[in-house]
Amino acid sequence: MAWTAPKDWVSGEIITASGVGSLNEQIRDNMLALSVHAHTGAAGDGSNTLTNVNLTNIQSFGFADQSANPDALGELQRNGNNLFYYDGTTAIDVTSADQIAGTASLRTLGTSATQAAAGNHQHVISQSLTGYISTASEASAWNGNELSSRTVQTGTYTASGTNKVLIGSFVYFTRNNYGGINFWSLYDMTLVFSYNGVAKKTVVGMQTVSSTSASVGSEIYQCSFLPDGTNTTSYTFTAEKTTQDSATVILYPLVKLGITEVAITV
Amino acid sequence: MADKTDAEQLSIATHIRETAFATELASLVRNTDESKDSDGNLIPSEYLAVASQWNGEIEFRTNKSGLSISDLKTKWTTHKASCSEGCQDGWFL
Repeated sequence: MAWTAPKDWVSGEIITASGVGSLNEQIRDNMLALSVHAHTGAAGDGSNTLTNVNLTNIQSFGFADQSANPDALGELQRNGNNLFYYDGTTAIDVTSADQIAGTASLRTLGTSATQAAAGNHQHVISQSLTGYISTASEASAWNGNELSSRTVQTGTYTASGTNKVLIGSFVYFTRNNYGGINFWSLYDMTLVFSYNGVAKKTVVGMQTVSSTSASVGSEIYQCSFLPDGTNTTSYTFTAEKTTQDSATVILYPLVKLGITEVAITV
Repeated sequence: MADKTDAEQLSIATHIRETAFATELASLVRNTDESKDSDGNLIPSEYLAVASQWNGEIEFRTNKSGLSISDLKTKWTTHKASCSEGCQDGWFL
């Protein structure tokens, strides 16, 4: 039903049912037109620009192709087959996936540079041996009932690069150089492996004997730790004889110490 | 938790060995006179060592007959639950 511009009524005018200026035309037909108005911007059909409108329960929007990107802040506009939003600086394509890194966009799942990793993705950690030292050394002997600490080995280690893990391992021995009578005894030892001036592993209660028939050693001990960057850093192994016996001994401490460097990459 | 210091490592290893494992330590069979078995082989002494390290990990070693590392772990875990001398300060197996 077409919209008819409302007329101005004048005093004494006769009201008719139909025809130009009639009630049917002015009221019925215009009311019918308003009931189906579509906001085309035409007279009586409502403006085609709406402001301060809250829309709810929208079924769909259909964007007409503007063949250009939006250029005003807050505009959402279709250009070809894509929909763009202008954020004040850039017209952002909100429909294309996997755009270049640094540009916000939808992402497909995958492992390429422009894809998003799945939430249950897993990394494969690889390790490689990048450095290793193994040194045996002996310190001066404890004589008789002497109780004290001996530095059995010192040295330095320089990691070959970043992202390394160091594994220190050692096995400790003693040997008795006194072959006289009453040389057999038991001794407890406290062993400390230090790196960069700090103890990394401490063993209390290592037991040895002053046999002359065989060197007596500990089990192998290990500990892992991070290197001091790529600095050339000192390490130390000390053994303290903590118990004494009546026997006469000349007891030498020995250690075989290794540092293994492992590179970790993801 | 901060790295364990030299003194803390020594203190906890000594405490565990001498307090938590006092019974086991006292029962170690130590060959103090170079005894040998019937085949002439030297009878090994029993030992019980406790190791501690910078990150708080505790490790046990023993060759005592009838005593396993698992036994020691269980015993220390029980001891730790009521220990007020440091075992609860970030030390673990």
